[in-house]
Amino acid sequence: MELKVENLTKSFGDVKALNHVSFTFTPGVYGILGPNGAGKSTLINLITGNIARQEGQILWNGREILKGGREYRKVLGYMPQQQGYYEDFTACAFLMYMAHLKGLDRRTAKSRSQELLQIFNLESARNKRIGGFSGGMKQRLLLAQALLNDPALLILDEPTAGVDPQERIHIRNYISQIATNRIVLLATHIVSDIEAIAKEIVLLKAGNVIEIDTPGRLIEKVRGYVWNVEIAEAELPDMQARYLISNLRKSEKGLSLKVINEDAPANAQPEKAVNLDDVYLYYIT
Amino acid sequence: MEWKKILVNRRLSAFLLLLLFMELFVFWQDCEKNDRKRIEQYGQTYEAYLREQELQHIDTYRAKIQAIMEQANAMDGISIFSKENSFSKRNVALTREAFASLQEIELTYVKGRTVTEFFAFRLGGLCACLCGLAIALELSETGKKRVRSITFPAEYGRLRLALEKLGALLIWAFAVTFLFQAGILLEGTLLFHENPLTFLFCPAQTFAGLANFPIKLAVWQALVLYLLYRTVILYVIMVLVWSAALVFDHTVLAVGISGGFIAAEYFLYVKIDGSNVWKLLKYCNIWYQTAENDYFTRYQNLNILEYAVNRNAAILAALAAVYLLGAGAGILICCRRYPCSSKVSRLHQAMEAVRVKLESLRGCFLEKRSLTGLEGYKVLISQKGLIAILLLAVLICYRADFTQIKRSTQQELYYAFMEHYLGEPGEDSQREIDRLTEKLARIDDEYGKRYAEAADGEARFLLGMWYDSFSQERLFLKQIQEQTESLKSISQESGIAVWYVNLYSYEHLLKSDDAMLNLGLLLVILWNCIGMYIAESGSGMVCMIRSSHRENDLYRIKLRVMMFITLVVCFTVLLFENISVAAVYGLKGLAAPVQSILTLSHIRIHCTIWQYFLARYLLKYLIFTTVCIGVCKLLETFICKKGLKNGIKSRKSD
Repeated sequence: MELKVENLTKSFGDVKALNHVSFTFTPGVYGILGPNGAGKSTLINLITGNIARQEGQILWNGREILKGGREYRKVLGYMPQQQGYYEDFTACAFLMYMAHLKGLDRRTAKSRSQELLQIFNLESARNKRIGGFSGGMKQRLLLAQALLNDPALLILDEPTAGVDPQERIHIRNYISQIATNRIVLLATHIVSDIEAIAKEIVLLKAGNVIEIDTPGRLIEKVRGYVWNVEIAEAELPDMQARYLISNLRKSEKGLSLKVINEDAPANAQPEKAVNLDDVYLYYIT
Repeated sequence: MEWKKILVNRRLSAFLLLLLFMELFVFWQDCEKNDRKRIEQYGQTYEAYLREQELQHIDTYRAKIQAIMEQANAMDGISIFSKENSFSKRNVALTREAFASLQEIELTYVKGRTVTEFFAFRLGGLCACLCGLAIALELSETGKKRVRSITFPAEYGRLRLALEKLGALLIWAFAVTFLFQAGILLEGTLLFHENPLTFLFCPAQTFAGLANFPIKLAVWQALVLYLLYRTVILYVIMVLVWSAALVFDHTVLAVGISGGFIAAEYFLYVKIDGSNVWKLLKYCNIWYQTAENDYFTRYQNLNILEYAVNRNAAILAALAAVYLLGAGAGILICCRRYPCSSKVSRLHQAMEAVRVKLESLRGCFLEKRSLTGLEGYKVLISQKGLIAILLLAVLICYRADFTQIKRSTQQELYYAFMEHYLGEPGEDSQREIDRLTEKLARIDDEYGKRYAEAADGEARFLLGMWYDSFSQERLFLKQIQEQTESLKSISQESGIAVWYVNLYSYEHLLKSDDAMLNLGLLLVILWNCIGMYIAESGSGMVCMIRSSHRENDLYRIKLRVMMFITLVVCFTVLLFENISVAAVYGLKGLAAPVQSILTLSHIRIHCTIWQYFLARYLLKYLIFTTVCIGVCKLLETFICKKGLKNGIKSRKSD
């Protein structure tokens, strides 16, 4: 099972949203990280067939997805970033509707809807109008619809936005649990979600892939460039102007800064607690 | 700022415009119906009829006023009317005083059908009231607790906001009244080609409808007064609804209780007699005030504690009291009630329980539907397609007139002839025509002889009356001879054996298939088509649909649903048209060749009347279906599949 992206290019007018992007996904969770406008949503829209590409190809198990048509969409589960739903429908009716669209027979659709409503704690709201749901509930419902057809390729765009921490951890764990035999692409701004479950991280910047690696290796790559500096409060403006500061906290001497820089600043000590936020800042800024 | 909220609310603005359009349309239809009926029943135009009425009114007006004054003087001399401190005595005095100023008015005839129709038209007030209710509910912001929780702690979020809302209600009461009433006046002047300057400066009493208006004013002054009076009434109704919505703080509850109140008002309006002691409840009533105009055009004093009080003054006083009550309650709630109160009343609890139950039922219903059923639900319920269909149904019902038309003798003879001789013109029918021709010829001869013998004018006048009594038969004979001649020439030219059929019914059926109805049908189809596809775009579902397995199936299903809706709507409209025509005129001779209908004699194809109408209706349905498919495909391409050139190309193979 593999999804291969080759030489993918997409422009909106003069702006290149994706620039000759190539890589291969195999089963597991892939985190897609990048600032706004990096090309994450464009990449997802191309893979889901929501926009037309200008160049390159996307191959699902060696077959071009545009030729695969129905067969490809049969294995696809997609949760968009912008919440899309019919306000007038109830949660259950919405899932049934999406199940019909995904070609599930009535019995399977019903049992699968029931199961997913339970998994995402929506059982009590099954007969309520979606229009009256909170943002987090809508998000969980969208995630449930993406999983209806038990997809081999699951694409999630900001799945935990607006969800409370407890539910977020629950969703994260569930995704991790089901990712053993499928490809999951997860685009998010919440770096900790990816750090916990991603097999590999794709870092995108201005339409280009700037790094692909496991979270551990990415952290190791950056470890030598993260420093801890103790300064007096008065020195802060000068430090801010000169260095990229990842974290700032009060200390006995004044302020303790986490600085990201290839060369060590004066009086700096190597930082031990390096995380994906630092990796993100190092590569993206 | 508050009044602008209504202006920027697209849905409400659209509702307002829709109602305005409907009101203007109904007014136009009403006037047309008046014209048609008058011509069909009396062979006279409505304009001519009105002119007769108005001239008669002007001739007798002075005498009427004189009679009122004389009656008042006479009543002074009767003991039961002259009892001190009694209502009767005060009523007589007040009436005399009111009408005294009208004695000097000089009336001359002016063409002003606009004014007459304006005061006779009752729907304007109801439409304005409906808009007023919607505006009042919107301004009450019922159910918008989050908004209230922001405004309530603000510096001017209590009393001042409440006063601003009352101000906004006043502005909209005036705007809505002006829009709906002035719209009618403007439409009237355009429909009847009248220059308003010719009648605006005449005395209001020039028109028969305003004969009992007891103030000496010009027409324009009376109209301004009328608009102001209407504004006040609407304003009070709006304030009442606004405060009710605030009191119950629940949209459904407020609408339900307002509905109950309006129903109770209707009961009082219908059941209370004008002379009953409870008459103030009839007159100070939403229905009376919005649906009737006679409070303005009819003079009446009410007995209130033996005092004679002019009805309009009494209504205004009662309205002022109701206003103070409503506005006071509204202000109090705006200033004192917490937006996030933890108290939940039993009524709210009950309503919530009902809502949950209904939602659950709906959930169960939707759960069992297939994709087709869910698409139907989306377009008819979620996108309010059903409302468009119901509006069309109202339009059809309004246009259809089941009242039996009073037929003239000529028409009665024609109907009887067609009933009896339905079929090809033969010897029997010709014998009947000959018999009538001979009879009328004999009458002509006899008239000639007796006229020559008549000794004086009176005898000749009576003779003329006798001769005129056969005029309807003469008209019938002429009509049937013309139809017979036409049928003969059609038979000779085309070789088709045409029949005698009742032309009134078929020509009415052809006429009823008019542009306005087709436009209505087209608008309903477009509304549903647009709703069907806009729903996807507006809900943000397009991207999920695109990535789903049965995307193209879905669009096929959408198209099928729309075609089915088009079929049902077209079929119902046509069926209703035919039933209404058949009920009033009868539809006999459907098996006759279509050329029997003289206006269709140019058709060269051999077919019967029913085949012709079937083909006509099928063609009509095909046109509407083609339009429906075209619009659906366009919307599908430009809304749901926009920017997916590669995708569309590849998915054709699906």
